[in-house]
Amino acid sequence: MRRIVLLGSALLGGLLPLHAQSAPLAQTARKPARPANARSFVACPIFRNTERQCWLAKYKGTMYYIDPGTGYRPQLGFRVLVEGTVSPDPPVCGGVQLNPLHVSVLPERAPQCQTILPAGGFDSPPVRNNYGYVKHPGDPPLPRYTPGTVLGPPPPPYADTHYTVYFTFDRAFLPEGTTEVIVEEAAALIKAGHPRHVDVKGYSSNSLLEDGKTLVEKKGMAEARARLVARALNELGVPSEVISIDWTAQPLPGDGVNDADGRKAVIDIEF
Amino acid sequence: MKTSPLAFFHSRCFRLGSAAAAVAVVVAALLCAHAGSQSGSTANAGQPVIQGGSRPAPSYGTGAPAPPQLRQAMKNPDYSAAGVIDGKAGFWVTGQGGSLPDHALYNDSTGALGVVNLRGPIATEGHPFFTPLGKNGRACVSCHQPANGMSISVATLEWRWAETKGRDPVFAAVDGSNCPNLPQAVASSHSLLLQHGLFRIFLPWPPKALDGSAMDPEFTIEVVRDPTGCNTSKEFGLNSAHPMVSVFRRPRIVANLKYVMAPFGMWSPKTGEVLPVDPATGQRLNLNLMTDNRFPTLEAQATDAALTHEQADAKPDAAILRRIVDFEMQIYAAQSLDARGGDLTGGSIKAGPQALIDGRPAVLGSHIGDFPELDGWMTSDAIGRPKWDRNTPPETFRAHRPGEEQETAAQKKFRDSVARGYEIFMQRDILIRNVSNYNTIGLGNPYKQPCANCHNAQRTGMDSSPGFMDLGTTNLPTADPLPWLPLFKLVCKPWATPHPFLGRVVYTHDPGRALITGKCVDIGSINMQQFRGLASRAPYFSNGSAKTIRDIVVYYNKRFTMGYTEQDIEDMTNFLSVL
Repeated sequence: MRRIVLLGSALLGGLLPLHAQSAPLAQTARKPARPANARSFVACPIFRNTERQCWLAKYKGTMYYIDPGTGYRPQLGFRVLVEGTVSPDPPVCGGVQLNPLHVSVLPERAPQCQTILPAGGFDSPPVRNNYGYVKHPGDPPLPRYTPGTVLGPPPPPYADTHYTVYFTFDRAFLPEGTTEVIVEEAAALIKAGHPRHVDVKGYSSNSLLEDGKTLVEKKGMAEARARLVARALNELGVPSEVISIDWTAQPLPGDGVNDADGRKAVIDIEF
Repeated sequence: MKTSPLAFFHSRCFRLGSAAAAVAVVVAALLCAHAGSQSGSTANAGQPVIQGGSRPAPSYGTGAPAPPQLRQAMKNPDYSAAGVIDGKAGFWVTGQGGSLPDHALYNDSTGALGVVNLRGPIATEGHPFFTPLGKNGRACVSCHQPANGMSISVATLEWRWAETKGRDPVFAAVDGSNCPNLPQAVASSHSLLLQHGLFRIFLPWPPKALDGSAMDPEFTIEVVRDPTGCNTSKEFGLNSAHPMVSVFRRPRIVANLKYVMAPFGMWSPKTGEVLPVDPATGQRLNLNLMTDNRFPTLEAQATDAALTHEQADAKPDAAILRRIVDFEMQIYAAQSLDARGGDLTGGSIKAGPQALIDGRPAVLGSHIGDFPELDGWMTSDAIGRPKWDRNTPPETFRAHRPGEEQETAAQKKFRDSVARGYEIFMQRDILIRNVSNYNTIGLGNPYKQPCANCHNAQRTGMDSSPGFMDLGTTNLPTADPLPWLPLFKLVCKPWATPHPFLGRVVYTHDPGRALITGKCVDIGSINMQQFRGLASRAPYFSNGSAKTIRDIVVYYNKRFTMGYTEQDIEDMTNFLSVL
């Protein structure tokens, strides 16, 4: 039997989970004002049909380059939430770069988002796919993710540690060849070190947009993320008995700067 | 030097000693032995015993027209003497007994298919793959014929109906007819099987989990059109005492299964979850089996097939299942001879079943080559420098094939065409767009990649990850009209996430994997099939909507606005025909 530490409202008659109660403190610690170079907006993604392809989004007259490279890429037919910080680096593919860049495909269909631009003389940087496939000659070599590689046990000594798995807005999904590796590493450590506790905690976070609106994550995302990661650990060989699951009852409210960092599941391993 | 196909076979006899690939040896030996006998009979020693009808005249049914060389060869009795079994003469009658040879060549629409039993000849007497397990007279082999690449073609079904006046068990009422409640003696009641190669697959509604537990599907289903009458039947339909959805699908190829079953990694890119483990073996399951992966293991599939397709009263026991699966895992099938291109198993390429026997499963071919056995035909002279092929350095290919100067003009033309088709398949980017369970798993929509990005599993061209995706072959508006098939209206419930590209209301001929998972995202998602032995088993796609190999290419050209020229289409068709 999986030992589930249910701190959610369903079990405790509406009481907030313990760390959810402390969440407001975390909020006050956030930056009160949005820096001028912070971006947080919703837009239709734009596909530019360059040789390697690239993704853009236009907001308030400015074109931004929004290809996340790995992870979860934009989709025509759906709007994207773009969160990041304007980079001083030169534009790519006709778009201002953001660094960091967080792109989320919003779940509601948006059939009007169908723009494909011709290459227009633009090139785009090498983009690895989730297998690290180097597509074009001259592209820099990138580490190749080898599917099916079972991580061996890490050597002792083992110390308390934690792994963080980030998610995109409104989604509890581990894209191929990226964040799943983190879960595999955690599972390898747990199986080798036999820790006293493994706690998986799920979080969610709203997004404070530049226009002052707040994009609210779906109810239950924190729980879904925690359960997804805990189930993955279990199916990778971690006994369910050693896994505790926890999640925040309410999403973080969003500050327009660090919101993407709040969509995560954290695996705490205590020896 | 120009040679006829038959002369080509004879020339192989003198090269036995130097043949490198084992299949080339055995095939050549077979050809030599029969060439020596000069017998036109297909019932010679070492050949399958043919029962249930006289040898039919060659017919190519609805498949691609046979190339002139092969048509000529088929008129020559020496051709069959050379060891190539007419595809329909090789029909395996359920329970006929005898031995399935360790290797055989069966003629097909473009040449000949090679079938190899890796463990040697199979004694079929009492073997559960060849023996009825239920009460309708069918066995596994009824629908998985060696001569048809371990599937079954429309041409074979047409011929078999004429030969037996519809009494072959393959036409069993349960699923070999449009609906069991129709008069079974008339061909019109079997029109979907006879004209499109489609068997009725009846699935419970609402779906049930593997453990039999009930499921609350994300969508409702309504019958819009029911040309077979089975979905609205009070006995067999959605409103019957045991509600069922009837969809109509092609049988899949039961060969080369080490590639189909091999786990590829630990994760499903489709769901972002860890792949399940087969409790019997401890190995991860790759969810690539069957059109909808309703059963994840060969044992479970065989059990279901015995109970439904063969109408067995009880599940087969473990020993029977073991024999079936053992047989299935050791049989290999691939095109071995092309009437225009010549021998595919020796010389400059080493294709045919041996390439599959030698190959390693679970290899991602999308960036190193899906079908390396064809590399010997790739030349810079054939491929040139198409403007889309900036990825391939000029020095990648040699200018000419070894021995190219000895090729006939027709051989050179065909081999060059195959080379171009393979290069298009591997390298020519297209905008892959609006494919649920592909564009929705993080790759982006569109995703600019060549065919090989989806068809990425080396040797089979399947998807190495679970291959179910909605390529649009069953969902409107991208599916062909197909008025002979039922049409369903699926409406996603308010709480459910809709189909990502079709929304809350989807019209479909076959909901595919959604009938198993109950999820809107899976509506129309169909597991990819392997590319092997295509020339022997028309028609194609799960619903038989592509009557020829060329039709497959034409469908994709339209679906993804590829902009193929007639030459491109011919090259792709030729490439697929030699696999």
